[in-house]
Amino acid sequence: MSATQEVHELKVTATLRHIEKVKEFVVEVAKKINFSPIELFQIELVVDEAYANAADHGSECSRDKEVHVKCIVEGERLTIIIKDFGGKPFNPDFFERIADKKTWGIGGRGIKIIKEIMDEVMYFFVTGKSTTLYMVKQKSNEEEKDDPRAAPTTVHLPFSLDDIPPIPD
Amino acid sequence: MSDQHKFGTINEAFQEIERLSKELEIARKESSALMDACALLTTTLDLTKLLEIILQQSAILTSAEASSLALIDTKTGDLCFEVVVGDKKDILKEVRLPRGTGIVGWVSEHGEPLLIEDVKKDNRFYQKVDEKSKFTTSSILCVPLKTKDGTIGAIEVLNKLDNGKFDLNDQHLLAALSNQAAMAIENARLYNNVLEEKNKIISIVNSMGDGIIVTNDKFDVVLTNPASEKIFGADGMAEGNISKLGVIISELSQVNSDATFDLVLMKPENVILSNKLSVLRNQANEITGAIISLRNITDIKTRENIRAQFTSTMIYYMQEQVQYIREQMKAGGEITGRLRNTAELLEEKVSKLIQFSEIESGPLRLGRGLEKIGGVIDAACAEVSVKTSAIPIHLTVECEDRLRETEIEIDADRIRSVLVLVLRNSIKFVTKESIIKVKVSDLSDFIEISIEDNGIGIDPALLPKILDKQYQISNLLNNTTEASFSLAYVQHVMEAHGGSVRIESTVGVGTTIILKLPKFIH
Repeated sequence: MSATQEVHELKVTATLRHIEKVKEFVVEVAKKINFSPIELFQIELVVDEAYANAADHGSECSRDKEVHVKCIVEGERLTIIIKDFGGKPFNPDFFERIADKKTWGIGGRGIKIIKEIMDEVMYFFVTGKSTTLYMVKQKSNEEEKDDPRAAPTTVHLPFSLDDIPPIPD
Repeated sequence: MSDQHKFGTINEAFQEIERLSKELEIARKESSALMDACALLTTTLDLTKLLEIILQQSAILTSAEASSLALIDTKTGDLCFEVVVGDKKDILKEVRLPRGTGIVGWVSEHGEPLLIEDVKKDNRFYQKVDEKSKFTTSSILCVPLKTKDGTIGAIEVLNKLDNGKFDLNDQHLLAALSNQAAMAIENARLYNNVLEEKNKIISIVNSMGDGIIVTNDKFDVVLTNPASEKIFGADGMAEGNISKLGVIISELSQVNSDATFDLVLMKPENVILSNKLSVLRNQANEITGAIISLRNITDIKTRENIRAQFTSTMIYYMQEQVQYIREQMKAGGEITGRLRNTAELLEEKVSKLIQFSEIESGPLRLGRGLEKIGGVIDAACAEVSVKTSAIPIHLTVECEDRLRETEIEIDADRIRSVLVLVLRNSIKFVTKESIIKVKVSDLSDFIEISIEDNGIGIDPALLPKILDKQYQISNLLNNTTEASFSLAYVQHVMEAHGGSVRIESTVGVGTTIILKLPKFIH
């Protein structure tokens, strides 16, 4: 580990109750890199999807299992590593492709979102033991988009608003 | 004794002392020179340099004009002059002597030293070497090079300088040096063999299509091949554990045993790897390192994905069409019995295809939401009741109001379809008036739904195989197991929810299927 790296770790039980805590943790670390508000929003969205996958699909929300979250800051590069201990490998490439085609139901687009937003993405499965998601976000140098004096720009989201289901009563 | 006699005796004594002192000084210098020579032998494992050092020191120790070293070729038995010190070195290095030829051949064959004061008087002397090199040999001192396995060659020194003669002292010095030299030569040869084997292994590893990464006991990378460098790229192989490779090795270092693992490098690479970790251990069972082999299966997986994606997409499009047909049927109009049967058959086949596709795709990705379990059960029962049956069905649901209103986090569509499958199976295998009881129980962290029927029951021999997905997939075309394939799918869905399925059955009495679902109440 070089002297310029800053490492932050968080361990939680694998339930969706901790999702806000995890998002807050990562966003606070991300602020050290001076990401733009849009980039911070995108990072929060990615962590939401990644943690939900780890706790729900990876660990079946089991209180016997943990999810480990590690953030490493090096210069303008943020590395986020999320590890669950369900040990259930899956094919993220398949789900990303299906998300392209799917016009029915909710869910399944998280992986596609992660890949759209982050600069590097890697899944590492040890069958029967753990699944680790490695993601890297590099601060963008396109600062003119964040300049409040610049003309309003359109925010491009990696999914359609029509895909968001209505809020249940 | 007279004073003159006494003085002569003392004088002789002083002379003797002086002579002995000189001899002692010479012996000390020779010992020192021998020790220095032996020390030089340990400074290199390069065989060529080592042989040159041996010869230089041989000539210095014995004050010889020239020296040479011959080693036995283990394959042919010939003697090869490996190194020569002196004017004729380039010529002599090409000479090969048949076994036992010349002074050096005799010494190598017998393992005994030879001191020849005048070579012309010794018929063992091989003159052709002098003829070829234009060197005139007058005297030779030759000693064998011996290891624990036998004689490996000989050192010879030629022509004592200053017109002197080789003596026993020279022989002893040269013999002492040759003992050390033989061991040093053996070590150098072993080292060369190890280097050759290492280079062979590196060549093999570099030529492999699979990526290979070798680590030491601390899981620091010590060797990679071009295939692994191609996978991770220059940045990925950089030191520091926040690189992809660093993260992988850090995770693997905690595994401590042989393991298989998969990698999906989604961005920027788009590579899928199937991999193996092999942990190396010494005789004390301590970890000495690890070998990681990486196999690129991207092309295979891409084809599989396309197949699975096509199947899934086609299935859902077909389902939309089937749904349309059913709605047309509900809306009334002239629908023939034959069309209705066709549509129902199509729907059954499509359902089976969906189940097959979802099991083939691996662990299910659920669309969870908070649902009242009562509503889900009611919807399933209503769907089953729509299907008319030749046999009367009495379907009852036993569920407390409080439990009915309990919300649990489930994929409602899938749980409903699972309940429909179980109920339809129960209806299918009744031969008399059908009684089906659905009972919902609260088990603290779980909800249990049991579906009990009075059907024909399940053969005890078949019971263990009913929930085995792989067994059912391989028997998919066998219509007699159609119902049990559905139950394998039921288990697939329940497992994805973190739940379970249990079957209790008695032939001739009936079957109870018990579904257990965890609740995730916020």
